[in-house]
Amino acid sequence: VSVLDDFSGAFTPSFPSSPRLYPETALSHRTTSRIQLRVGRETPAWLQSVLDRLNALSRLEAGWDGRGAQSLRQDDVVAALQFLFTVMIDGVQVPGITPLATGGLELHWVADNLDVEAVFDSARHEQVLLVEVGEAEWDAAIPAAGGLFASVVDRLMGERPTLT
Amino acid sequence: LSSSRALPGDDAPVERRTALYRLVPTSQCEVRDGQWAFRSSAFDNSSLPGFTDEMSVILGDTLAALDRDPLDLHERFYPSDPANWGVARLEAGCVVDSGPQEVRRSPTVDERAHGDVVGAKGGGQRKRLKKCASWVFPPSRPADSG
Repeated sequence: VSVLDDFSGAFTPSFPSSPRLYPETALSHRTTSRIQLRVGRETPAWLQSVLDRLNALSRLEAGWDGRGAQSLRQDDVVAALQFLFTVMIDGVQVPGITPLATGGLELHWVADNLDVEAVFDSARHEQVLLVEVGEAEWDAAIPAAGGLFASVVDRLMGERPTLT
Repeated sequence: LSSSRALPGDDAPVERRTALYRLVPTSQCEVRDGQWAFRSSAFDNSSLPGFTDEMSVILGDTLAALDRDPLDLHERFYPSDPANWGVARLEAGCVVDSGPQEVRRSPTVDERAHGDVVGAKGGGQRKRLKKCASWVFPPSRPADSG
């Protein structure tokens, strides 16, 4: 999988775009090895960092953990990008991204006393947002997780302490 | 040299206070305040066919009986790339209490102290396992090296 940061060209929606924030965004992964992403109007500030990280992770070969880990799965990458285009707003810290052994991935945000993870793991049929504030925990299936993310997004404003 | 502790049998129960050591690569860490911090994805099952319900660990009681410590595990398992690996420590009791998980001994030809944490590990379970963990030592690769 590689992710093209092609921000120009024709607008060809291949999935229902976010109606609220980035109405001219499209993701296409018709080919087997590349995800093409086209963004109309303004490119969101977080996007390049996310693409850089995804491209770095896409270079991990199968077995990268020495325990049978799979290469990054294209459908999980697409789902994660869709989620970000749905929930990210200007000023929110760029998420960290770590791979799962199944080929899925996790997005994560941290702030004082707050830990947020979004899991995209199609191999295990799991897409979930996990929010932890102190000792309290909440979770929501990704398709319905916008409200849960919005409830903590104010606390995720600003720069992340440091991002890999 | 003789070991000061008896080697546990392969079927011996793993006591709650037993240390479990988990090798963690930099790809499953983030950098926080200039230091490697593991993410919950580091505490996942294998993807090897037939082992997808098992997370490999090294059992501290067997290590001790062998007069070994966890400080060279990264070099033993990943001799060509040790700088990209750290070792985290979890206590068996915390692991078992975190959810439907079981700790088993599963010695291999290469590692007498090998064990498994057996059970499904969805996102919530991985987060609970992460709470049980702390670094023995983080990866030695500089955390700001990209």
